[in-house]
Amino acid sequence: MNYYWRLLPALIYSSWLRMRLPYKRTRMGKSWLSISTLLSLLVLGLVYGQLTRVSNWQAYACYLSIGLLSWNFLAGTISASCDLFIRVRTQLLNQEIRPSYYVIEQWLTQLFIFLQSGLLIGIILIIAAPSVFTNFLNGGWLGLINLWLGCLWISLTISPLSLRWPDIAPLIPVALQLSFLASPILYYSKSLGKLAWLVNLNPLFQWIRLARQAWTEQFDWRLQFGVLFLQLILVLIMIKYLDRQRWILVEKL
Amino acid sequence: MHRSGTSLLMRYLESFGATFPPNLLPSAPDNPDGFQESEDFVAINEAILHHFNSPWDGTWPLENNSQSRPTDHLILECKRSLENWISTVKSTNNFLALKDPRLCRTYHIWHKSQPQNLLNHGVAIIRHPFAVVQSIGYRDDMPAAKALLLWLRHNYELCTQAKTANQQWPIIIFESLLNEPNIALQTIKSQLNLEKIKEPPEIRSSRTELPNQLDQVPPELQQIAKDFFNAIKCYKFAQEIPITMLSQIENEINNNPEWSYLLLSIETNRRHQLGIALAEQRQKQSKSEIITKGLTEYQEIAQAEKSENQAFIQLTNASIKRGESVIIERINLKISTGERIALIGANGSGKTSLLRLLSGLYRCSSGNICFQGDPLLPIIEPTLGFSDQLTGIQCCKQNHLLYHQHSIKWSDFFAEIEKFTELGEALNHAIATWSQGMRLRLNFALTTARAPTGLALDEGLAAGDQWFHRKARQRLDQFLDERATVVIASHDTELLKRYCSRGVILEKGKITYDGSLFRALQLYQAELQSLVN
Repeated sequence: MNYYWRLLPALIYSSWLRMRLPYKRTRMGKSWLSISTLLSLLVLGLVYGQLTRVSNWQAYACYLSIGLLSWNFLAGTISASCDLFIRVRTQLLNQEIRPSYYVIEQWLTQLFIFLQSGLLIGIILIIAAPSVFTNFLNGGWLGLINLWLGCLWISLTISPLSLRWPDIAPLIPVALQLSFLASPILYYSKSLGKLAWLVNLNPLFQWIRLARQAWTEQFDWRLQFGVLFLQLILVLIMIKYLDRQRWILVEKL
Repeated sequence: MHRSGTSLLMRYLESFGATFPPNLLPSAPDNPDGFQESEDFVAINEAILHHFNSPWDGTWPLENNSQSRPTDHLILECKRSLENWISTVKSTNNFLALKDPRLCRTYHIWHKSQPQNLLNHGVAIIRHPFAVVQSIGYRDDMPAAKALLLWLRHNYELCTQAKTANQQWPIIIFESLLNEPNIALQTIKSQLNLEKIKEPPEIRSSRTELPNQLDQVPPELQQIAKDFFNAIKCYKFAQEIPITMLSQIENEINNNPEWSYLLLSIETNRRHQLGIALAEQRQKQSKSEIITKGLTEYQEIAQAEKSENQAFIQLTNASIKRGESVIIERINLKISTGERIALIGANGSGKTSLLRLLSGLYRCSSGNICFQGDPLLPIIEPTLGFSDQLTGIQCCKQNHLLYHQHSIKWSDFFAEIEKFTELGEALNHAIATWSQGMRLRLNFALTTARAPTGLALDEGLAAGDQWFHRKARQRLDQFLDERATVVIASHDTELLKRYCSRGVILEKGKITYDGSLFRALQLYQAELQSLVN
């Protein structure tokens, strides 16, 4: 891990650039990330709140914001992993940088997008309901770390797999869309009625659940730390494994 | 020097049991018993002369043309060739004999390459200047004045080289060798304890009368040469020739403007005649005969066991396969530290893949690659950043954080890059707006700023503009001065001649030749020519 620790400034710098680059020509710059997420939340919240006849709008706003932000992060990371090694083909063929570097770099980019998008929403929520901040301190931070770490090892897994089996890449957007629609992100799980059991079969939703546990239900510190420990091990194993696969990846390019 | 009886002397030495180097030049009408010169050693001597910007018949001093470029790679190549030769010699009873008239001029490089004093004896064979002028004029159509100055140059340098070597080099006068070989060879026989093991060669040389005067040569110049020859005849060993005499000759051939003007007029006249001949030839649309030689005969020598030096990179039966296709096939290659290797071959012959293998970016599908130290640093495709919307400064910053953050401050690093690339204001703009040359420039600057121990350069580099010629070559020279290793894949023969001493020809993923660059370029060009025809 010394290698990645040494390269951390470079990773942070290039991820920051990657986040900013799409908005380079715009007047508002990266603020568009906050604005677009806020607009999505407002529109989707109003529509689905009405549809599901929400009674406590304040709690729903918090539920929806954390859920949607988490989902965007999860879906963004997984989608970007599908063609990651194809995008960095030239670098892989001409530089001796390890492959996990590129995975971590794109994951950090998504993390910056998450933080940038969530900044404005977080401020608004804290002003509207100060308990949001208290819940963050009472475990919310750990749930979010679990979400981020989960996305990192998923990304470390999907990136080489989709290079090995190119059919994975077109499947992923479909799977993500179906998973999003079947996940209680825009609506409460009770709205599913008798089909509420389906939520437990949705693997991706489990990370969303962990991320917003501090705001929606009794926070399970033991579970969260257990998951954190497991995911840390998984991340380390996957980084080591992927770096050893460098030549195999290059042969596939 | 040329046409002084070196071949005859070698045949006498052969009768005493001398072993010659491999790959001898074939006989020719002017030398029906063979030259006893190895193509490999001739190629290295040609490379040395080329390094000093001199053809084989150059009459000017080498030092003035050195361009202060280092000769380490040539010394390494000499050493490697000598060690290769010795490793292939089976019997230890014989002595080894190396002959090349160019050694009169190039010996100082060979002398530096001998860790175990491999060339520990020398023989100076000298022929009457007028006889040499006649012979060389007949064979090479060389004007007499130029041939005489060439005689002076070679024999003056032969005597100075003998002094540098600090060895007892017996002087053998060609005319004595012809008339009384036993007496002429007495000194060398006693010096080396030689005994005849087979019959001496049959003398076929036709003895022609020497003219008293040479036509179209100033009498003063003729007198200088005759005096020098008569003086040499008085000494037994080349070292004994007094420095005062050598200084006089040096002064004449280096500093006398009269001889320089004479040579200049000869060259001008010759060029004019060549131009007329060429024009006539074009009008007739005659095709020159193409000499094609099979490459396979050189393979064995190229693959002969290399020196005992620790290899920087060693490939053993290395292959790269992609699916069913074989990109590199069973390559054996040993690269020592400080070597400069040119990869030559048609597009798709596997040059870039081999560079990537040597850079550690590819691995062998079968066989083995062994690195002593870091792999070569690749400059293969420009990899400035993840997007061409990044500015030059952003690319530099990213590179600094990746490779230099602990060694140099960002401001100093950027100032250095800015000064080296001369990109100025362009560095503030997106690289999407840059030309290919500008991108190559920044890529080259960022890569070489890492002070690597070895470089793998692909031909894209040769596409550089004037900037490349001014700045990048300077940095490459500096880099090579530090005994770094470089492997260049290019079709640019000038670039290869400037930086490489060893040539490797690749054909369909296989090495078809590995040896001196000169020979490699000759073979490759002959191969191309045969394809064209």
